[in-house]
Amino acid sequence: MDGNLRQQIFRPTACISHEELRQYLSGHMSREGQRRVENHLLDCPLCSDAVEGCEESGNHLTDDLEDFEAFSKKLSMPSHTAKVRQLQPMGYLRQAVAIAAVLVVGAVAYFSFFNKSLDGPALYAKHYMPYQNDVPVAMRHANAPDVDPNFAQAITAYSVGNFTQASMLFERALLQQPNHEATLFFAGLSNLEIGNVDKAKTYLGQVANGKGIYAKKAGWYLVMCDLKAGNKAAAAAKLDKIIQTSEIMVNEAKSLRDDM
Amino acid sequence: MSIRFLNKQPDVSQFSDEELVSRFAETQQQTYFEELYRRYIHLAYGVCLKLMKNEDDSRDVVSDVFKILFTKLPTADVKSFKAYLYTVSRNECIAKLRQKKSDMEKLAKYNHLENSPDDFMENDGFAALFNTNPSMEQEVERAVAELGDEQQTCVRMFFYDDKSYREIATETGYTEKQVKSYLQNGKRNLRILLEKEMRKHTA
Repeated sequence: MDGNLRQQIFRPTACISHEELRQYLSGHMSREGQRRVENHLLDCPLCSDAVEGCEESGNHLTDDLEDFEAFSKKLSMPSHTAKVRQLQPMGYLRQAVAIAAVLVVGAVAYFSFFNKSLDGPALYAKHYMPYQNDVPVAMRHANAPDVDPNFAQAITAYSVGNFTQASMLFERALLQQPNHEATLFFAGLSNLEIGNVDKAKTYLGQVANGKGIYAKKAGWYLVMCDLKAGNKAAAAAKLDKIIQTSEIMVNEAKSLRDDM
Repeated sequence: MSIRFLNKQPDVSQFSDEELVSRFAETQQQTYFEELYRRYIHLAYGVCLKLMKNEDDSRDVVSDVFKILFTKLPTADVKSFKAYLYTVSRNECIAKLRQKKSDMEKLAKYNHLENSPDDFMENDGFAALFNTNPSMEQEVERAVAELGDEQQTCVRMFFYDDKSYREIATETGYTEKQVKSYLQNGKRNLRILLEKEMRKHTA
């Protein structure tokens, strides 16, 4: 056994480079490199899923992915390397035809964009971001003062993605402490995660109506509840309120409003 | 006559992901975003490939993912770029599958994903804390012994005997996927057990 096992197991490792991915998939990698990659895959779902995706599809060729130069042409931002081309003299007729063509293409693009607006669940899928456990460490102990013991277990379950168990434990904690803000907030999020939208709305609504640290964040997740339930109109009304009055999540709210 | 300043470009390859995000947000300079693109395009594509099961769709989605990042990064509160990229990639794949009715079967399999957490294991802080406490070496062995049989076997073969997933699979009869899964869960459980121990030490 290696005398420094603890360092090996929990050593931070960087994500897999393009070259490493290529070598690993093709089986042409040094033993040391393979160990590093496989150790990293245990910690990083991004790299782990990427390797599995390439392996499952039998597609080991990622060389022809679009390079940044090609990709950047799709962006609206002007490139710092772009050159201004001098306009060539053009007859009035050609200019008029060109302008008309631009207007027609613009109109088609405009209408096809609005006809394809996403429904509530699709907007939810696009804009929902899981809330990370940010409960202070002092509150996560089973014997933390002023916190029900179920809360510590619930927050652990939440952190590892076991939302069914988390919601059950948070609800047990609420039996003892029905107005505990963090418990209500995470109970709401856990229920949202498992699709109990009505319950989620009840808990998050209580938090949003209060003045605690999670109040404004709860407002955002109430929007997510409406979207998940397919109620775009209610979501839009809440979003407008967030944009006008809230101090946080304003940019996210604007971006979502634009997509609606 | 104009004055030209020597504009020394920073070596962006030395920046952390989060530094790149923050500088991109501050300056809107494409150089910083380009480095993020270069570091992660192949990984985001692989994630899309896993969900979409189709190369052309995956290329489209990965392109959309980076367009979204380009727009959102300057204002988003990004604590970990790769976790953010992972979430956006998965959500975009699911949104795309929802638009294609023919892919409803695939979508049904992935519905749980849009709600699942990222599960990135951030070792930096833990390792630093852990390594300041040499007495934890024995605790590691004790914690490994507490793991279930499959997890323990895989953890011992991987970390003690330096074997690869494939070698472990050959010796145990598990599939490589099972080996990886036992190792992932084993490592996560080890961390939970060791965190408990550390709490006892610091209490």
